[in-house]
Amino acid sequence: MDWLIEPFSFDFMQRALAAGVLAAITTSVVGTWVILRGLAFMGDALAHGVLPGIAIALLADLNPMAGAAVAAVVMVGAISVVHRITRLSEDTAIGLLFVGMLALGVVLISRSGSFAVDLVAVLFGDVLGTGRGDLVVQAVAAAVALGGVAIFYRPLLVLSFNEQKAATLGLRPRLAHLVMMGLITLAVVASFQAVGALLVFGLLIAPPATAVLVARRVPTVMVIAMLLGTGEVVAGLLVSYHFDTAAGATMSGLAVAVFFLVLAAVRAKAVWRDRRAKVGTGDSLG
Amino acid sequence: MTFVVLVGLWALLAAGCGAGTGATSVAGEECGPVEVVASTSILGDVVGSVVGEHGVVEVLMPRGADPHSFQISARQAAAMRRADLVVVNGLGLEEGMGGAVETAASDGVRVVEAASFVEPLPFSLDGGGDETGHGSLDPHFWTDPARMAQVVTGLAEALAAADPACAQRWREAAASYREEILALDEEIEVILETIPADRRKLVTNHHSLGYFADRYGFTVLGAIVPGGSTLAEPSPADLAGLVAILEREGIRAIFADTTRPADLAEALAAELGEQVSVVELFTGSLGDPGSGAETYPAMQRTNARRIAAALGDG
Repeated sequence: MDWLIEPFSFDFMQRALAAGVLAAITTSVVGTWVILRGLAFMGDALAHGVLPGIAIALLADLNPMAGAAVAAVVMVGAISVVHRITRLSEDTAIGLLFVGMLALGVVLISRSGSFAVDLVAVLFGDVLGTGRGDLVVQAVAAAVALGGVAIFYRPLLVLSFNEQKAATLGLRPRLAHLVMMGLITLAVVASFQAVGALLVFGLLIAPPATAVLVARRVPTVMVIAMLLGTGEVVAGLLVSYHFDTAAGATMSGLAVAVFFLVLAAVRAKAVWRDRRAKVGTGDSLG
Repeated sequence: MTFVVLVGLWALLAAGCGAGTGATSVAGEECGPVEVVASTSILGDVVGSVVGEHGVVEVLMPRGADPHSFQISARQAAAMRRADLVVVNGLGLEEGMGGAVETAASDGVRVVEAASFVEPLPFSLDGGGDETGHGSLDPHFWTDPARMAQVVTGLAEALAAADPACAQRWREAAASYREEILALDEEIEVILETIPADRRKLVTNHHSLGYFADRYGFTVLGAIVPGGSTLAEPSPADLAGLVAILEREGIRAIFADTTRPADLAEALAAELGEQVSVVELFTGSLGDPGSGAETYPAMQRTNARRIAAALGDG
């Protein structure tokens, strides 16, 4: 058991664990809806598109999270404007904003002439450098995500399966959609300290996607995703500790690896069941 | 239900590890071995030369790694907590591990920034933007051995503070290594003598030779990559400006780094034709065995020889 307990005897590992678990809770709850509504591209775009906001905030010595949040709001707003006033599909609008924001970020950083932007930490996270203040922010974000999903559960659920029906039921799909965007922004912005703006997407998508393979009901998917995400964070930190790998990337990579493992297991089980069924019918025929 | 499980799991883990971060050394009678963690391979070699057989030095960044984009693992963060002394470069060099170092320091680890022992220089030339932003001090102090000698003295005091019982031993060890570095400084001056004053002009891949230039009377005319950040890239106007400088000044070589791809430098050299060559220097990291840059002094000597060969009368 030493290999499990010893790494977490360090304060920084406990803080990294707390940051990772809080990120996993927030992203799993929100990510489930991202999966169900097919908004993965939107999530990806938001995770990367916040870069100029972070860059401006760092250059102006402001809080990077505030900068990221403003950039995300600008992005969501611009996407919905483009989508509404043109005949272009939403993913076209997302793509335009995604590339535009990312390009703006790189241009700003290249032009600033400053050597102060810790861009590497922004992109890939700095989970081993988590401070107490970061944990407070993440805990609040997790609470807001859980509360938001609980309050808007029905509108979100109906919206995910039938937007027209949501309107006729008086569930205000536009509001639900905005809440949804707000939650994605929250999850991405609050978690980039832990796993970075590039890798947070892994936690947003992979655990809920894995959960969808084995569960049907939305609350079950969320619960399984949270447990998976938490397990992957713990395992990722342990792997980083024992095998000397970069912590944030190990957690995100592991989340995706687990998806494929579960997928293989589910497929293998299905094939096995089919074969048994076939053998069974064969027997009865013979 | 989940929350109960999660909180329970968390509490279990937290309870299992209350113990805290190990023993701090008491100012005892015996001169025991020290454990030092150094961020870059260059600092690792310097610290290792001072510590010698009296301790272990763990280097976080592997040789050849770009210090700006390196990220540490959890095991290395743990090694920092156990160390008697952590030596980092400072001035923003360790971009990807700044947070981990900061929290280590706030957890009570003795962290010393090597750059704090020298007088820092601002970046000699910037990529075209203004230089008002904070953190525009150049972290590459090690390209000047005279400054490295000051760092060695500072490290001796840091080791003495971390291990007061053996303070004298550390000061003596550092003094003899300092002599070696000062001799290296003179040797490099001799190597560079073949370069006449009007040809002491440098164009580099990224801003890495500012201190070298300051020490040996060179001018840095420009660098291809603006800023110190990994994502920064030059604009066509930057590159055109550099081409103009290279042509006007009759520069013969662009100095690239072994830790970064030299594509842009190659492109610029191709633009200017055969008279300009791209010369690789060991700036961000020591080299592998057999590269001629296995240790800090060997690295500086090799760089000086390559610069002399590229720009000198030889």
